[in-house]
Amino acid sequence: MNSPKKQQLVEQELLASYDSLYRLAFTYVKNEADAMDVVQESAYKAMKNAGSLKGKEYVKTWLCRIVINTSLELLRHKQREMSQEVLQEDGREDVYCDFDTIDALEILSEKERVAVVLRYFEDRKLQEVADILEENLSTTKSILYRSLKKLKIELTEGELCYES
Amino acid sequence: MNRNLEQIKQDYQNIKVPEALKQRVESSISQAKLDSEREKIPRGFGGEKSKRAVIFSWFAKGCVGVAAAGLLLTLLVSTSAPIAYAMEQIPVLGTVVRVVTSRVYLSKDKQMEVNVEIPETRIENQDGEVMEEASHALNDTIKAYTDEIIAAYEADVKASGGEGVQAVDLDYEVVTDNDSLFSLQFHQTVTMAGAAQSEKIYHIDKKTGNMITLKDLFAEGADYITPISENIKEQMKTQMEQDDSKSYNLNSDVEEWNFQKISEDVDFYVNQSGKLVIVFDEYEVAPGYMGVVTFEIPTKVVAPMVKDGYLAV
Repeated sequence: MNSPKKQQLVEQELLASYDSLYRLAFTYVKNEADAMDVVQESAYKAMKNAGSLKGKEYVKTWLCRIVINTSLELLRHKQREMSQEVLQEDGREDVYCDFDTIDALEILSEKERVAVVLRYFEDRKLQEVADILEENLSTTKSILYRSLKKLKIELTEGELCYES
Repeated sequence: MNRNLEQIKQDYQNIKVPEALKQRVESSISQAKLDSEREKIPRGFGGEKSKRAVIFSWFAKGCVGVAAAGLLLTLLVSTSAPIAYAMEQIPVLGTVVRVVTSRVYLSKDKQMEVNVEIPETRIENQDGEVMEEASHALNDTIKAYTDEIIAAYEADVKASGGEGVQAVDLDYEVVTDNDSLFSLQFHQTVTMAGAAQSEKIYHIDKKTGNMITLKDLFAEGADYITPISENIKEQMKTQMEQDDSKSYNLNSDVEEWNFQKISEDVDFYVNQSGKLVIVFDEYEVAPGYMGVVTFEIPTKVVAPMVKDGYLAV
């Protein structure tokens, strides 16, 4: 597969799956504006570096990886901004979404969260999830298992909290 | 899957995807294609790929301007080489470079606007006479650079039928004006979805009145690229180790994204303490959030090959 072909493939995949990439980004950055920036920047990076895509079958996992990295970059940046701007009182806060249950994902580590999102929400194959996490199959399984356990506790506690 | 997870899934799927996203993804795609095309065309010195083209989408158009201006600069320097040579023979106490007038190109319709400041300069020799040729060379280069920026903006207006959302700002400042150098720095900001900054700096050698680029600071044939690039890499590494919030394209898994070396036409200036400072555009060597990044190069790195008078040794 030559470079223009790869670029074409990446383009098709981007147009087909930008909405799920957006949701993935959203679980990281938690607001619309940033999630859009992440997807846009990722789309550019992906197209620009399509040549480094290893093979057709990796295009989905590759795009996910780029979105994840770009999201993390943005979060690191925000963190830095926040630590520098403690004195600034009038900072704007983006609140676009009020999904309590999605907030429950917060208790998971970054890896666990991605695993849950991809496996259960995006219905990706276990092998794909493993590829994106850069882990082997059995590790991925145990990450998922651990995540579900954590989530179950969190959600039960959450419910109690909201009821009282 | 248990009920709780089902609930989260529902919410996850309810995350509304903004309608504007599709258009933004499409614009990223076409911009990336355009930039990839451009990179195939060798430009600059010795056909070396201009690193500046590897920049994120929304101001990549401005970059063409930058690259084109860089090229022009090369031409001018080389065509005026005999004159430069002739002038070097005459002991000159020093020229004076003045920004005499400044035009503003301003245009605004609906959600699109452009505001470009175009300085006009005059180079005078020590007797106060205007050095016509040198002045023209600098002014033409500046004009070519600003014209490109305006043309790129006009093209965007046309393409969007005036319905786009974009703001282009260009201003300038004199960053260095000492005995040996006069440097004019342009700051370009293009705001679309996010804002992107790029810089372009022009230098006048005050001994000759001619424009110079980085290589002119160093002895003929000296390899300044490697030591400077290595030093920048070291600085990137140290900064990232000491501060988690910093990030440079240095150890990315994807080899092509990593910073390798500076290009010959990289932007630079000489700061007040006489040290060389290398300037990279936003997205050029680091993720966008790092903005425009600069590296001060320690004198000892370049001391062996620098020509007298440009840097504090």
